[in-house]
Amino acid sequence: MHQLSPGVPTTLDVPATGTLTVRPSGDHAPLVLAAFVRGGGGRERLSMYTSQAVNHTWRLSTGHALMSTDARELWEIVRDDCGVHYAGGGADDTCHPLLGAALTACGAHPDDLGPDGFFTAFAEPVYAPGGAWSVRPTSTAPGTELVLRARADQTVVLLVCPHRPRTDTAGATAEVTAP
Amino acid sequence: MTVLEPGGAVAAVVPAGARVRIGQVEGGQVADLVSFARPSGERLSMFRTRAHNASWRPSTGAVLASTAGRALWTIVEDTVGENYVGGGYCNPRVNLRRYGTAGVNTCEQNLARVLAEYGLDRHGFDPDTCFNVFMNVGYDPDGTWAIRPTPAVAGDHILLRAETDQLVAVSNCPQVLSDVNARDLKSLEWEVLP
Repeated sequence: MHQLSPGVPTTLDVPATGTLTVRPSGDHAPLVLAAFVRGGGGRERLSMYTSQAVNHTWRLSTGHALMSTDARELWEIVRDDCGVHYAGGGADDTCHPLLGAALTACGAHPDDLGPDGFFTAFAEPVYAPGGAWSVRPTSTAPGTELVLRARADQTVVLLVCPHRPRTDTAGATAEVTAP
Repeated sequence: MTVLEPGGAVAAVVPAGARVRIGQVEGGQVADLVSFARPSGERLSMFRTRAHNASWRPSTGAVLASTAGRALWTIVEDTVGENYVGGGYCNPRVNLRRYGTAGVNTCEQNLARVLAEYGLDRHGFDPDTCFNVFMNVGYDPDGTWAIRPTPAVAGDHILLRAETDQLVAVSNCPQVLSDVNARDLKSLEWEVLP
């Protein structure tokens, strides 16, 4: 079990068919996930554009796959108690450099660290008909889980966003179960 | 003014203050635009653009921002008001997953081809780098993400002012597997104005 403190990236290696379970510790704890396939120079990574395009939805949840830049399935969402996540890509000025440093430290290619590689769990995008756009934290009930099954050997970096409208949440936990 | 033939592409270095005009000839055609500040190499960023404008449908007056949050372009005129800033472009890998074939030309290949003389390959840009001009993508309330025909008609155009020196590449989208170009490729006008 790994404790994910806000603002502190955690790097985990997950084998194909392994399972990653994330449990927010309380309300309003957006968690950014970035991943790349081990081998191949770190160039095949999570792609939110590809994930939306292949799943035909901007609301990824149970049964959907998180796709790579090569349009391979990286993760299957097998359980999602929250159901509200931001799949449009991007991280704020605090999170992006932290994620970039963690990713390059474990072998991701330095040219492939753009916003397209970041999935933000427990965050709600707003695409208003008039064009307004925002991303805001969601509420998560105690015991909420997001469970992902890996479809490839990969390295994943998890970061609980330290910018929250509330300060009474501690972060999240992550657990990897190997096959 | 140059006619960008169906499925064609172009790249150019433009100075700060120059304007790039992309116009419809017959209507119903979209373009993909990527750019890179010079000499820093900062990429255009659609995430930064959405955040800067607090909008997923930027039009006249909006700024297109770089990965560092700098203004790269200002939309000076936009007679359509339909552009996609979610990031992305057609490529063989997504075509294979969505449509079952990788055997048609794509914007990724077009952009990589014209950027090659500037030392960039397909890894030199990514989906976040790409501004989809005139492209109509729906974020429906039920969660549907759908590529739909552009409403652009003959005579419509967009005019972008460069806010810094930059390298820009434009692909006249060759996608025929979706409705984005109404499955019929058309010419576009392309012009760099002082």
